[in-house]
Amino acid sequence: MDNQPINFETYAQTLSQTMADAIARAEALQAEAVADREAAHADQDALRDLLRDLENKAQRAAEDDAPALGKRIKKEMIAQLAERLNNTPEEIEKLLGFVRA
Amino acid sequence: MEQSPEVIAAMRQMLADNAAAAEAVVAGARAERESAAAERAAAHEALLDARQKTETLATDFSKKHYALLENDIRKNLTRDFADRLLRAGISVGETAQLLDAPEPLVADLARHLGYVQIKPAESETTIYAWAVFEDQGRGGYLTLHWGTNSPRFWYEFAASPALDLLEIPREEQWEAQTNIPLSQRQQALRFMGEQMLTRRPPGCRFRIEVDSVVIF
Repeated sequence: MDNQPINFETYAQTLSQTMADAIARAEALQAEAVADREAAHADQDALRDLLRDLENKAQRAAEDDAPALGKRIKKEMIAQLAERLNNTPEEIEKLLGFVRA
Repeated sequence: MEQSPEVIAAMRQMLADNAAAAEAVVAGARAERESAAAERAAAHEALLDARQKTETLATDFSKKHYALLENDIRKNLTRDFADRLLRAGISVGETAQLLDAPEPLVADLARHLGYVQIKPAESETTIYAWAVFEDQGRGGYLTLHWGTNSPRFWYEFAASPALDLLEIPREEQWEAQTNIPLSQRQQALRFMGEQMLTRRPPGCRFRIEVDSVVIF
């Protein structure tokens, strides 16, 4: 074992400098981590905005189509009833009261 | 001052421990930095991926919203059609079948229209009954919806002390004219009597006779 006496001043300086260097390095790394997380949040926000815009457009387009879609489905349902009741769509419309009998 | 070997060893240990602690501080910060870098890379990749696939995403959203809308429209139309079929005298069960609708939904609509759930005599199942009045001046027709049968009966204002008179087939003609089993005749007549009473002030009653139901 090295039993050379240790210079106390050097010893004290080494202790504090080692820790000071580590803290400075850690702080630099933490600053980089903060910047990275901010960039990640910005990208996440941009992604959310993109998806929200796409979904809103799709929803509006579907809603604009609602009257035409409603007519088509009503026609399909009347046709289905006509088949099941062995009747014509015109007679079904009368039965349902959509036209006067 | 002379340093004993023990003191020297202790100081060397202190330097080593301090270096290890410093390294641990840096290692912790490095791990945090690496995690943040990975999060940033993942977020960026997700954004680039979405930007490249906007057409596919738009199509998927469109399909989703059209499906939701169609479902909504069908539900509303089914309710509307069920209401119309019930008013036309189609029974609850048949309405549910024709529209591929859940029977509880149709039954609920029927109850709102005034249908009453009844367990007919000698029957394991319940049916829905509804009376529809068609006034024609001093009389009119009562259409009794009794399960899948819908016979019509003539009623008119009666001479005092009676108020109304509902004409009914006699027992021997009941099934032929109404298609309702004879075993359910009394129940059906009581139901019609009760429905006739709803059109008169409280305190009125009905009496079943051989060929009529009298309200007084």
